Amino acid sequence: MLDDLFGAATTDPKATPSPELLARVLEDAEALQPQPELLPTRPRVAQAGLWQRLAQTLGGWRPMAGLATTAAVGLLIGFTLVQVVGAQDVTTLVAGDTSYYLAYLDEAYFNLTEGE
Amino acid sequence: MPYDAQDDLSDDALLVLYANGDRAAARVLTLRLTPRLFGHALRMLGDRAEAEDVTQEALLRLWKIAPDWRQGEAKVTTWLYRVVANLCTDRLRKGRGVNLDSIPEPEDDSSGPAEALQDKARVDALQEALNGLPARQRQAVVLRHIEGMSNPEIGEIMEIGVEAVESLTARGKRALAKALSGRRAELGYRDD
Repeated sequence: MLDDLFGAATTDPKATPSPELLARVLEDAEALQPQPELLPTRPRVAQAGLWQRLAQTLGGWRPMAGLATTAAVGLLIGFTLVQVVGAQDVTTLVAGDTSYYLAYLDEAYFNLTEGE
Repeated sequence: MPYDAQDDLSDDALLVLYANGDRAAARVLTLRLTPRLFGHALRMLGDRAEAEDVTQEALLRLWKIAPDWRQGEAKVTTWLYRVVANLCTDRLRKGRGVNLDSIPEPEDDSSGPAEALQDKARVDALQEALNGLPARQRQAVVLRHIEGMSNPEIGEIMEIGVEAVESLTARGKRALAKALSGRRAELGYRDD
């Protein structure tokens, strides 16, 4: 008897899912399905790098070259002055009652004052 | 890929296609897995609405895990039967399920009205007896004798050894036979 009952249960039409359940399950499946990654239709344009963007901001490579030259000259002048001013005692340079004369920087100024 | 070309693919392969965005794979998996899970949940719970909820929930978990599914580690159906079993156990613990009245009348055109009525009475009687079994026994009996699975397959689903499966099904069958013994005549069986 038991085997016969199992057989009846196997073919039981009640154990068939309703079309509504199938539709709900399929709706879930489609809603949660990962989307395939779309391939680009146009070649990707390379993004400008940091230096390239900086050069564009400042007007191109020529103004950048001018700026670089100016900076280099400024540095050169700075180093030259250190040799002149650096000869002075540092304490003397920062002391309040110290006077500076252009003659310290260039002998030509000394000659001017002597000529007066 | 054409829809019917996927019918022969394994569940694993279909799940990979699904995770890659193949809509036909979603359809084939739905049509293939929903009836099996629903039938199992219905026999475990005895309640159509509850069985529908459990089936939908189990498959929802499958859709979510699909992108991370590791092929070859576990069978899709084994994993799903475990999920269904856990969901059914939760619902049975909460005292839900087992409502035979919620199951609509069958529309079976294959046999005459008298036979259909008798089949319904037999299936209902079996379900009532199944509902009286402990959950693990019920699961083992349903998987073995109604869904026709092998003992090793059942062992994998229930995460027990083959001997334990045999013990569960044997005890379950004995309990069913005892519960139904008084209803032989009512169900159209003679005592010979």
